[in-house]
Amino acid sequence: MPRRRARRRGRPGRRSDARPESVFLNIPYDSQFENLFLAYISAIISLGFVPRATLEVPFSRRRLDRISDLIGNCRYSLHDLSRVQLDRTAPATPRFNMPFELGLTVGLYKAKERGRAWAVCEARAHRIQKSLSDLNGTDVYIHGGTIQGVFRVCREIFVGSKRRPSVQQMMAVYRVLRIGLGPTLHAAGQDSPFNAPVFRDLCVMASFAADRLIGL
Amino acid sequence: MSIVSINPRRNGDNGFRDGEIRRKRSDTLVGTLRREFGEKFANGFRGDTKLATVLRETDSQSLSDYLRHPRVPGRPATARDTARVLGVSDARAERLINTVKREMKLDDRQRDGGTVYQQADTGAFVTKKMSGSTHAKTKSTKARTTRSKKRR
Repeated sequence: MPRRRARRRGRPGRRSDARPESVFLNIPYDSQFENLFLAYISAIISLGFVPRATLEVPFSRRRLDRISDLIGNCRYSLHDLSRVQLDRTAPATPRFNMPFELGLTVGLYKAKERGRAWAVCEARAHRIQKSLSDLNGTDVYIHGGTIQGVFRVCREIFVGSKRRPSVQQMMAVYRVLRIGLGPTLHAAGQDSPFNAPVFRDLCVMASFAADRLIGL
Repeated sequence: MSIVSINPRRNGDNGFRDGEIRRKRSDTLVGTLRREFGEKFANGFRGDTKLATVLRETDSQSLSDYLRHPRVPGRPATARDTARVLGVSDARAERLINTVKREMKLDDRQRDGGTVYQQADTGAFVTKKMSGSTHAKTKSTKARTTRSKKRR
């Protein structure tokens, strides 16, 4: 009888059916950021996470609610505040979406249970002290606007991830993604990767490449 | 946030800081800790797992170390997981995986000395590679010419 019970309960300490964790990716959606967008996808997937972005949320009246739900469902979030310049197209305006979503994330994570984490990335050191001084005292990760820099900061941020790929392995995943971008855009009839179908396809492709190149 | 340590000697301060830290035994169950730290604490571990097991499997020094750094005890996401989370259908995921398999083969061939071209009509990538035998012949001809020149 006790033996049967032991079999039913399973071995203590054994893992249950663990769900992979998601990372909310808050980045600017413009053509100049395309390389870093692919770099972030490659890095997050190489580290064993699933990237989520507001690209997935359709434009509707309840968009803000859906964005909140999306952020709430992600355990971690990455915010790139490097695009602080004015837009080229008239009227010239800065993008407020990223700081807004960062504020939303901080509020949501404060309200929810512990164990959630958010990180801020920037291209230039000390600039955020001027652009968003409320973050003084918070560690900001500087990637220098380079692909390798993004890989480096992602490795630093997710130091506790189970999968520990090297920068070279992340670069190999990025390379596969870069080669696959042309046919993916062609198949979707798009000229930019900043839309939901292309983003999803790129994530699945990068994930398979990471499985092959880095291993589980 | 209260900092909890299971190994007070490692901290050197008996595991107590600011008078609010409580020590946790290494055989405390995850289920018990979830009542204090929320349902997502040690996500991926069963409730009857001991704290020591969680710390060992996540390479954490102590509970405070575990809480400070985002650690993922579960397995890394596979391509199927990613497709499921993002709502990509199985058929679509299969097609994408096959595309990547082809691309990775092409990438390998390119590294071996081939050249990759993108077709204008389909957008697909095609590799053109000089065959090994031709390359060898060229090399040997060049070598022979050099030798004959030397003889002269």
